[in-house]
Amino acid sequence: MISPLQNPAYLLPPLLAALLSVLLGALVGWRARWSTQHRYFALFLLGNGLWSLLTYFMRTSPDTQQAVLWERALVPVALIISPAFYFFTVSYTRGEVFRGARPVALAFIVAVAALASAGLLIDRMEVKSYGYTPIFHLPFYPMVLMAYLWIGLGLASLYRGYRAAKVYEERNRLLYILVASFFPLAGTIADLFPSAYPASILGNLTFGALTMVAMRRYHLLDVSLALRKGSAYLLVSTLVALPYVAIIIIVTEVSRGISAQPVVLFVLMVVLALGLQPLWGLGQQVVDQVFFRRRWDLVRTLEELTRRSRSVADLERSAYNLLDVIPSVVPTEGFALLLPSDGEEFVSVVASGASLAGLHLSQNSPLARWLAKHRRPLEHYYLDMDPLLLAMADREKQLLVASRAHLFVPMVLREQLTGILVLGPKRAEAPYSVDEMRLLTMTSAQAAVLLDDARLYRTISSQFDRERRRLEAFEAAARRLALAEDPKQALQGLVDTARSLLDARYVVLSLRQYEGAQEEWIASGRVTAQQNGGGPSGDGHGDGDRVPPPDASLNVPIKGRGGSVGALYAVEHSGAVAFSEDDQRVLVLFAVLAEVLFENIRLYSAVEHERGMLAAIQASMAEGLVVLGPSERVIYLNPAARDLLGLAGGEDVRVDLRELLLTAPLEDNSRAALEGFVRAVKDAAGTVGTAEVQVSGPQPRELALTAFPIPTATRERMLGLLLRDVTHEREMERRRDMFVSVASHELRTPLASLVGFSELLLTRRLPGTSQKDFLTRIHRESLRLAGLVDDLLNVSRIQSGKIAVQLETVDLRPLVEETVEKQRYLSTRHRLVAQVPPDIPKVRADQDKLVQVVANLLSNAIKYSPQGGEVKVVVSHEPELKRVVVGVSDQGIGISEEDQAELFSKFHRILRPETVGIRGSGLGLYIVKGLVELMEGTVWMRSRVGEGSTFYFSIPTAECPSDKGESGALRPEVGRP
Amino acid sequence: MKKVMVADDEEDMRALLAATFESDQYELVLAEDGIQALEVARREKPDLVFLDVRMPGLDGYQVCRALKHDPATARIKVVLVTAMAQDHDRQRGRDAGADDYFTKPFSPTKLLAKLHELLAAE
Repeated sequence: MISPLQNPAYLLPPLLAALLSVLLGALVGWRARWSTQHRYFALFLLGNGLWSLLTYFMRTSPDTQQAVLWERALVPVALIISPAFYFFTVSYTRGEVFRGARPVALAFIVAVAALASAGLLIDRMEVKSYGYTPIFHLPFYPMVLMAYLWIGLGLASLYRGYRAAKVYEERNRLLYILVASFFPLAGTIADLFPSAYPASILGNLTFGALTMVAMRRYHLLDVSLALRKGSAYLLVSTLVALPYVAIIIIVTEVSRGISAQPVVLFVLMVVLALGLQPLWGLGQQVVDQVFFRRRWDLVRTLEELTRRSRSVADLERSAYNLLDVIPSVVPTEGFALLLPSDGEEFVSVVASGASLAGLHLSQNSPLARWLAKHRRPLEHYYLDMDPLLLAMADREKQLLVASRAHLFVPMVLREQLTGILVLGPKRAEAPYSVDEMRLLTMTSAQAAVLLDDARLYRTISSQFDRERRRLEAFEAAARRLALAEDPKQALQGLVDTARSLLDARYVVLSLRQYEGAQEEWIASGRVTAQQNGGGPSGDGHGDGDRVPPPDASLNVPIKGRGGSVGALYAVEHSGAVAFSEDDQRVLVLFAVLAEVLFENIRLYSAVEHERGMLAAIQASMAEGLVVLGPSERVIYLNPAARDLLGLAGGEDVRVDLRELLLTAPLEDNSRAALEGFVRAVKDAAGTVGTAEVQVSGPQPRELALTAFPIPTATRERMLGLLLRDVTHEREMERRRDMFVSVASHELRTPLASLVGFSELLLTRRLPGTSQKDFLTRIHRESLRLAGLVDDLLNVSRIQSGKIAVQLETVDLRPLVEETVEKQRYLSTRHRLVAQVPPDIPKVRADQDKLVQVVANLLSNAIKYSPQGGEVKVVVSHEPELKRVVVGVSDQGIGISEEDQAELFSKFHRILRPETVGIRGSGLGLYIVKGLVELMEGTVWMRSRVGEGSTFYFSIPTAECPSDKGESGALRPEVGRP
Repeated sequence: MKKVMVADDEEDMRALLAATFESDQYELVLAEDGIQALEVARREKPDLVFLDVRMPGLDGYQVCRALKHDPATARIKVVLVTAMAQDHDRQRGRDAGADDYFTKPFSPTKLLAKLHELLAAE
């Protein structure tokens, strides 16, 4: 027979039970921070462990003396743990301990301890076939009964909990504990009978085993994870320690062979240990990946979720990301994300599982308020238990029940409930573990932040979009306005854009260009009379719309700087949201634009007007105007200047003045003079200078230049150059000078005779014949001088247009005949003939002037035929030309062609040998021409050298109406060749 | 006896000058135009000539120049007599080589004095 003391079946159970209980107790105790139930259970388990350990020592005692000592220690422990069991079960099933339970338990413990120390519980130990067995004293039995009472109460509460448990997992857990508890109970009862096999330890063992199963399978107390972790770490630590151990052994073996310094050995070991350090981290990772796959996955998924959501600002996408993540956190059958809607409700935004899709919850619902207050997940069965939640409306509760929502996880951000994660039942109807709920809380917190970010982003983004659109529209409108050519169109565009930006029904701009001007209206949109508050209907274009819309909710006045006055009105759509401050700002901006536009229009038209006037003035100037800017660059040339300088028209002449000079075809001396002039003006810096230049080319000209400074507001120097065409003036001057010089010459000649001869008469004693001769000469020359003076006066008057011509009807016949008669005295050698047809019509002429003309021609004819001969006056009529022609012909020396060309000009004298001795002023024919032209006639001549000449003039007949009038005021250019 | 030539296309002028110089002291020759003046001058070789500027054919300046450039007649004193009285006319006269220049109207007495002066300077 094996000694019971060596029987492994006797010794092993308590040891195993102790180990198991201690392990479990430790595990639960470690979790004891979480709740009271864990604490009590840990206490219970540790108590069990202690009991089992003491039992082991008792069973390994060599004799009964020892055994009794151990028995006396372990029995109180066994008794004391019974209230712990009761407290554990009550707290696990969330019940309430009976009133006074704690003091009673305390009393019980004290009593047991007292009795045990007095040795009143255990009498002695007896050896049986299976081992030791205790013999109890009497006080033991009431104590044991009390202990059973505690256990019984505990079991009762377990049973109650089991019955009440709705969740399958919960029921299973409770069942297991219930069943597990029976074993030690049964065992202890069996041990009361000394003959029975000590079964209590076996009961403990069974209890421990079943508890472990419950923990593992049904997540009792959520220590399954800890269990796994514990076992994993144990395994890993062992694996990691093995190399260390191996190293130590190797080193020891090696160092035995060689006499190595201990220090070296130490260092070697440290190095090796450090070398293996990374393995520790790797080991951790491997442990996580292998043993805690789900957790590992979860962490990775959360990280992934965070990463993805950071780059997604879209609300819906974030929500859908969550949808992906939740199933990897917990194996749930469905979930829904409830977010606040515009109303007062949380509505399901995304959902998996049809039952949860239609879920909604009022924001004032007790559930929402509970979640907001407690900020932790709520399991669905609490809806019936929590007093706060009992107030929930039936309809709501039914909805929740119908949708099979099992867990509500609040999303809290900034102390506000921003959403609810609703989870359906977990797979296999298991309850959501604390770990899972913690993970869900973390996820929901993250989700809350992400969704909030997305919402914020969306709000800001849409606001920003709106602002940007407005700004763009405004900018586009401003640009259009800046480029618009038609101001009316521009204003219409402005009003239209304002209306679309504000989304208004009607926008109208009223404008008065200046005080007292007609008010103008430009509108966009339509408004009916009814909408217009009883005012006129229309679109701002008709005549009846000239009143501001009475229900314009926006009204911005406009004041232009030019005195224009107006206002912008806007009317919103009925039922639409009233205009916001932003809208008002928009309208103000448009009013500013309108102001700018008015001002621009006004300025532009003023400038255009000025410019037009200036351009007209400059273009119509006969003088040339050149404006030179800094460094004598040509800024402006008016058309006259171009013409005068002989420049091609049209092209821009932005050249230096010097270059300008080079292109103009100036005479060389003029060029030099001009350069000198320009230089002088430059240097003079501000005084006026003049010069004269000659422009050659197809139209040679003489130009007078005047330079004058143009003062400018800046310090730039601007020069103006005025070009006057003085060609004609100079020509006239030259002629006048010539005239004066020739006239004075002509006058001097007779004067010389007068002075000379008279001096001779006065200073010398002369014979009578000489005296007579001299006096005759003096007389003659005086007469000549008188005639010359008369001629000069006539010429002067003709030139200045101061001759008055009295046109009347004149009968030519008597006039011609009389004049011929009067001139007969001039020469005895000539035969004067007048041929006037009897039917010659009357002419319109000045009688006296006509006589002068005829007399002049006759005297010329006589003078220029010194040999004598016939001088004939022939009068003829040219009816088709309505004129009468008078011809005076002589048979004299004739006139050369060169002389003919210049014959009628002033002072032309024929200088030929034949004319030596013929006296004349050279003015006669000029006067004839002048007078005839005054009478609207013409002169011409025909002659050949040596063959005499005939001079003709025509006079209009009397019925031809004069186009000069009776007074005959004339152009001063009469007689210009 | 000194010889004086007068060239002028006007008869009155010729008469005046002739009357002015007529005396026992001087011999007078006349010309009526420029060409004649040159011919007569070359032929008669007067000591002094009075030339009108405005003459047909050659004018007074041309005659003067011709006389002065011809060594045969270069020594003849030339006095231009004319109605043209501007500075440039005088200059022209000087350029032509004239010894003096008189403008009309002139005082015959003064002209005579000039004649004496010029001839005495020989």
